[in-house]
Amino acid sequence: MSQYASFRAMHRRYVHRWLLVIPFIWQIGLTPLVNTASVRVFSLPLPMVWQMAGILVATAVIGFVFWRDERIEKELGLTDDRDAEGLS
Amino acid sequence: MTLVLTFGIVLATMIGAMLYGHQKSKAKTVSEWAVGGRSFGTLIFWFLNAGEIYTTFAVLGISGYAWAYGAPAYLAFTSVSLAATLGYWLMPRIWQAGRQGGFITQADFFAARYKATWLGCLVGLAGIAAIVVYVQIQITALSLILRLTLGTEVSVTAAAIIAAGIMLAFVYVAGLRSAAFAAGVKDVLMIVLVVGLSATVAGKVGASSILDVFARVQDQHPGIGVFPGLVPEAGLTVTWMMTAALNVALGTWIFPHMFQLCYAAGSRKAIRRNAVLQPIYSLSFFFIILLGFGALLAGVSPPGGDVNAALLQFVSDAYPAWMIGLLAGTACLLALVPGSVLLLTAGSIFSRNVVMPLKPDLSDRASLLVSRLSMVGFAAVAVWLTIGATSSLVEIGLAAYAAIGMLAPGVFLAFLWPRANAIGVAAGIGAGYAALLLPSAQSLWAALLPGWDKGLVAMGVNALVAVIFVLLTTRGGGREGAR
Repeated sequence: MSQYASFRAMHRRYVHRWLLVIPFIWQIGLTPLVNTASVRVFSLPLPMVWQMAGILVATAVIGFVFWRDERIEKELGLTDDRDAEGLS
Repeated sequence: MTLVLTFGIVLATMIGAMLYGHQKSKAKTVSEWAVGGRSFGTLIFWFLNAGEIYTTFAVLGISGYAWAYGAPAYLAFTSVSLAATLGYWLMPRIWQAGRQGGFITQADFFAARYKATWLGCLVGLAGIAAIVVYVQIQITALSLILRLTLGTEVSVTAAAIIAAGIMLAFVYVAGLRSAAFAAGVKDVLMIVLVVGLSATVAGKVGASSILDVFARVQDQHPGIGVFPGLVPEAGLTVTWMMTAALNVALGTWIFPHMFQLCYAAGSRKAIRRNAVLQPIYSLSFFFIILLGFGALLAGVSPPGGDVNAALLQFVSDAYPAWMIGLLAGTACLLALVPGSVLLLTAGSIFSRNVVMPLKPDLSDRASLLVSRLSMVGFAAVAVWLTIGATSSLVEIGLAAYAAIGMLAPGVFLAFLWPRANAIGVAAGIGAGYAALLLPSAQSLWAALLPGWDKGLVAMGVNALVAVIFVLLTTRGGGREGAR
């Protein structure tokens, strides 16, 4: 396999990392859309509930990415000491 | 009662931390002392990290922001989760670079990655500047608590100097490991306090439940729950929130002490698991905001309208003396833990990256001495900054993030763009400071990008100039600086 092809293969494996963009979209990008005083969730202001939900979303996303990473690295037989992301 | 409890908590924790630190490691070298021997497990690492994030900025600053402005306090909810999301990707890279290069400071990383000792020196000084602003937060809070417990006959200046003295005493004894111990104590106390205060706050302000506190505060102060909050003139708009949240997320790991904390991790897995666990902890900002809103319903008026004192004033008005003692003691630890880690980091950067290049034959023992002495100087500057200022802790915090944002493009380019070089990074830093500090630049941004966080704008200018200079000074397809 050429160096370029192995580079491509490595990147395909880690494509789930793009999920890490979701918390930024949730907690920053969508902030203007939920900035309304007319909706209260259990008496709480909507923008506040939104940001708290964002923390749960972030945890779920990071947790999922962690789980995938661990599985991939186990499949590849990589230990903590070995580089798994193609970092130098 | 208040006084005894406050100082009892602080002293007991300090003694425990000293014993723990001494038992764990007899620090002889800078490496042992500053990065804890590079062997932290997940648990200690998590506590230490939490100690870095649950600071006075969060507890006193955010409750004060909720009390004074309302919605802008939601910034706290984004500060940990977004930093952890980015950190999941970034921290293992920093950790790995640190292990491979044997780095101790952030400036070591810049000097090695960009093959320029002078850049390490420049970055070291820029990092120290941001740290000093961050230490100012801790000193502001500590002196606030000192004046609360000792009485206002203690002048602001005296309180700030005493605060700095306590912080230095804390850090001199054992280094990073004592901070880990104190962070653990502080986290337990903080949970006890938050549970105790939150369970009783509704009754203290005439509401029927915690949720009723929120209902009442929105009924009495329409607009408090949405941006721009209670004081529209303050300019804390949705745009402010979005840009400030992004700047905080991008800047968190760039702080030299956070960068250095990544080196101290025992394994990549410990770092990653920490990124998963950390955000959940930040849901407890709900209770901090609840208490700020409770203070507003109770109609507290802290001395001089000091935003930072809203929570302390509320507790001292509505609760028995032992409660304020417990809060004051815990809040002291909140300031001391990060404060000591910050000074420690500034000291090691100064000895390694500013003094060492000028005097390369410095012995380990001598550099430890230089590092310890320089901390007195940095604490003094922070005291000096504290005395003239009356800002909210959140504003000082955002100023610190703006200052450290100057180093962010250099870190991200290091990992993302092999072509990036020292000239580009240095030019970016220069342009960034100009965009941040020049009054004419400030008025330009106010007109062009109203409501934007200044730090994010300056970071953008910095990154743009860095990229342009790299493109101009390297040849396309070249691999200069590639690792």
